[in-house]
Order: sequence, then C-alpha cells, then structure tokens
Amino acid sequence: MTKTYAATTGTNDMSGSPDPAAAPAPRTEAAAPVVEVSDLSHVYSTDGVEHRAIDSISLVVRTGELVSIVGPSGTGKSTLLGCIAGLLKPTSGDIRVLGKPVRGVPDDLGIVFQDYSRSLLPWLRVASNIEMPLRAARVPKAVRAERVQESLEAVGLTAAARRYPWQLSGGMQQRVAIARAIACRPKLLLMDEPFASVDAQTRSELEDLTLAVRAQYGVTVLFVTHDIDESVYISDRVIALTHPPATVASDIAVHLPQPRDQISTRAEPDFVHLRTEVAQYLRRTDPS
Amino acid sequence: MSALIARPALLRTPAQPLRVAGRLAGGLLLRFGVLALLVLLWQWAAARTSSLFFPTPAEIVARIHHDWFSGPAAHLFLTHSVATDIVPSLGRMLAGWILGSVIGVAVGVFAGESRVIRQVVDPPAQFLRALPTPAIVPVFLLLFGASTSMRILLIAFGCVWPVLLNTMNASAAVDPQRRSSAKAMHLGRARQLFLVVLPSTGPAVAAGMRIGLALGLILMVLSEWVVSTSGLGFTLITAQQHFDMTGMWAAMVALAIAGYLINTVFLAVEKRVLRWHEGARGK
Repeated sequence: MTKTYAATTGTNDMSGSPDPAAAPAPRTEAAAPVVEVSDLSHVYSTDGVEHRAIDSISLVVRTGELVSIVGPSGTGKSTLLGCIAGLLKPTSGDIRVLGKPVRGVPDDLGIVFQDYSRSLLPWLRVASNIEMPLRAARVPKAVRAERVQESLEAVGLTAAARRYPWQLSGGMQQRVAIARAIACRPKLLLMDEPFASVDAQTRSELEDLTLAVRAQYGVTVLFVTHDIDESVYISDRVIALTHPPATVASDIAVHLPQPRDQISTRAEPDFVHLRTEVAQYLRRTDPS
Repeated sequence: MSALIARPALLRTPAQPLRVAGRLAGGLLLRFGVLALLVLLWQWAAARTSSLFFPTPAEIVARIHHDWFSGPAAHLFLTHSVATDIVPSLGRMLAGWILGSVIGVAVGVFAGESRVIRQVVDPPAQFLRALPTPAIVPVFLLLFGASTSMRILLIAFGCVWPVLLNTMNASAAVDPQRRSSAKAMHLGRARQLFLVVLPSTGPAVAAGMRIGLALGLILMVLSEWVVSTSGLGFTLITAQQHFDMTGMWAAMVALAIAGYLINTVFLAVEKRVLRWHEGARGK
C-alpha cells in the first residue's frame, strides 16, 4: 500500500552544505505539501475499448523535495504527470498543487517534456523561447530580459542566446527547455522523462544540471523516468509504480549524501542497495 | 627573402576574382543558357518568316521599351502607359491575392481549432476550390458589375480556397505536444493561436499562397478581358483585336516577366521567413 516517507535529506540549503556526511535532521511535518494526489485513477477509452492507465494512486510531494517516479514504459507515468500539470483531466480522484485543486495548468508550475524538438518553438531564437512564458505572465520587458539572462546562466547557455534551437545539439536544446521552465521561477518543476532522448554522457551532465538548478532556485521537483539508476541518483525519494493499471508499488527515501557525484555516489553501497530494492519492487509487479 | 613569400600571394590575388567571375558566369549560363538559346532561335526563325503573326523578339523588346520604359528620367524612365497598363493589373492582383490569403488564413486557423467547424467548412471549401474560377466570372459581373472591386474579389475568390484548406489542415495537425507546452507556459487562448498555432502553419500557408499567386495571375488577365478599360490583360486583348501583333506579343511577354518576377520575390521572402522550417527539418 501507499507509504509516504518523510524525506530526510536537506533541500533548499543543501548546496551550501560542505560536509555531505552531516545529513540534516529528519524533515518534520512542517514542510508544506506542494503536490497532493489522492486516489487518482485515469481511464483512456479509444473506440470503446477502455484502458485503465492509473489505478488509485495517492502521493504527496513536499516543499523542496526532488521526488522521482519510476516505472516501466507505458506505465502511465506521463499520464500521472499530465494530470498533475492540468493538461489531462483524470477520470476520478483529487489533485492539489500548492493547496489548490487542479483545474487547468496550475500557477507556479514549469514543465520539461521529453521531446525538446516538439516543445521548443523552432521559429524563435533561444532567448525568445525562454522569454515566452514570461510574456504569458505579463512580466515587464526589462525584467524579462534579466530573467532570460539569469535562466541562460543557470543552464550554462549564455553563448547560445541568439541561436535557434535546431542549431543546437539535443542536450543543449533540453537545457533551453529547462531554462524556459525555470524562467518564471516556478515553485514546482515537472520533468517528464526529460533525458530519455540524449546520449549517456549528456544525460549525466543534465542530471547534475537539474540538481544545480534545483539548489539555486529551491524548486520542488517531480521527475518522471524509466531509468532506475537515474531515479536513485537524482532523488530524495523514489516512488515506483506498478505495471498498468499503475499504482504505487513502493515509496523509498534516498539517504545518499549530498551533493551527489556521478562517480562516488554511484559507487556507494547504499546506491547499489537502493537500485536493487527499486528494481525488485518493479519486477515483483511484472505480470509476465 | 620576402619576395619568396610574396610571390605566391601575387600569383593568387588576380586569380581569385577571376575564378569567382567564372563561377558566376557558369551559373548564369546554366540557369539562362537554354532560355537565351531559344530566344535566339526564335529571332532567327521570326526574321525568316513573312508571317505577320510572328514579330521578332527584338521588335517585341523594342515595343516593350517604347511603350513602357521610354519615359523621362524623372519618372524612372517609366512612360505614362505604365499607369494605365501595368499598375492597375498588378495592384488588383496583389490586392485580391492579399485579401484572399488573409481571409483564408483567418478562417483556416479558426476552423482548424475545432473538429466540428472543420467538418462544416471542408466540403463547401473543397467544392468551391474544385470549381474552375473563370466559371464564376458571369456571376461576379452580375453581382458587382464591371468594377475594380469585381476584379479584386474574383482574384480573392480564387486565392482563398487553397490558402484556407492548407491553413485549416495545418492548424489541425499542429503537434499536440507543442500545444501542451504552450498551455504549460500559461499562454492564453489568443496567444496560443497567434504565437504558436499561426507560426506552425507558416509552411502550409506559404504553399497555399504560392498556388494562390499562380491563380491570381490567371484571374487577373481573365478579369481584364471582360468589360475592362485598363491593365495588361486589356492591352493584350485590345492589341489582338486591332491586329497589332507586336503589341499583343509585348503584352504577353510583359505578363510573363511580371509573373516570373512576382514569383521570384515571393520565393525569396518565403525562404527568408520560413528559414526555421528548413533548418528544423534538416536535422
């Protein structure tokens, strides 16, 4: 059943923590929930055939947490994210983001999709792409320029501001997508398999970039992936989903030292234990 | 010592512009060589025949020059006839084409947003597109008389369908992911339409407008054949009726040149505006 652990790793202040061994005290209930999903179900029906993608999922993501949702392909992870983002209307259940029930895309939300080539606008330069949500939010022009610059710096792309997305590599385009998602300084960042279509090296870089951005902005992150290693490496907490109809298989707190490091974190015995644990949960639910 | 270094540079310097000029000449030869050859052949054949119906290209060019380009320098060498022959034609053509395209894009984007509207708009649009536009001339003559607005509306009527259908289909086919990300950026309905859907349909709109341009030129000439007093089509038909063969050929060649130039300008603008499309697809 659904177990909701309190995350025990530091969040907003973790970047400044010089000693990774000094794990912060366990989080108290004081940390306000950012995402509350209760008893969520979603059924797709195409040509009269019903497909239950999600079955009664409940979960909570608290302020400052980086929670990843992991599960095999076609598990309804993206459906879950779509519902939280207000892009899909769930069949039943209740979702609240920052305390408010979700109707349409919630305020203070940024989304990074998997396919950057389909989410970035090819006729706009990088800077204009990042500026788009700021224009939507009617941010004054001078402030917009400042924010665009800040976002570009956060993802290390200041040199590419005047270029078009299609002139950049896949990894750089996904950086643009991240910069665009954080330009409005959202309180919640949703990432839908963001690094599934880049090579392994770029993927590691983007994982670390995500951690750095999260540290800089103190944003709460819900990160969907099908990669178990990635979920353990990046998160404070891993929520594993079952095969469809998806429900929560397990909810595991990750007590790996901060800041994470691609080589040493992955060599930690705890890292190996955790990835084994997640993999076992996932296999246990495999119907085949 | 320095001469040793300087010498190859000296050798290279005059060769560089020569090679560029050579490449340019080669390109021009490839592009217009056959055309030039055909004109020469035509000149040779026309000079040999006694038929009055075939003036030589030299005579036609002289006539074009005399009729339209022998004016005073203050008027950029344009004659007074330009104002009655060429300007009204091109003006009506462009007005009709732009009017038709604007209506086509506006209705197309709007219709593309809703499946119901699409289903309502599609059959009549397909039907009216299939109708040969010249067949509508008698109706337009009755409705609007032999006026400038009749001619503009006729051209607009021809241009609107390819643009409308193309825009509608492209707008309906905008990547759902692109729409989702627009929503995720909190863009309002109007901004989604103007900043995301409309630019997405750009390549399809341009393709429709290109078809519209060809149709527009045909309809321009046609509309000037019925109860008209100005324009290249009028000049053409009047010359023919007066057995002014050189005048007829001059109007025809002028129409061909105008069509070619308009198309070339459009393609250049399209290439510039839709650079992103080629770039994004090239990957």
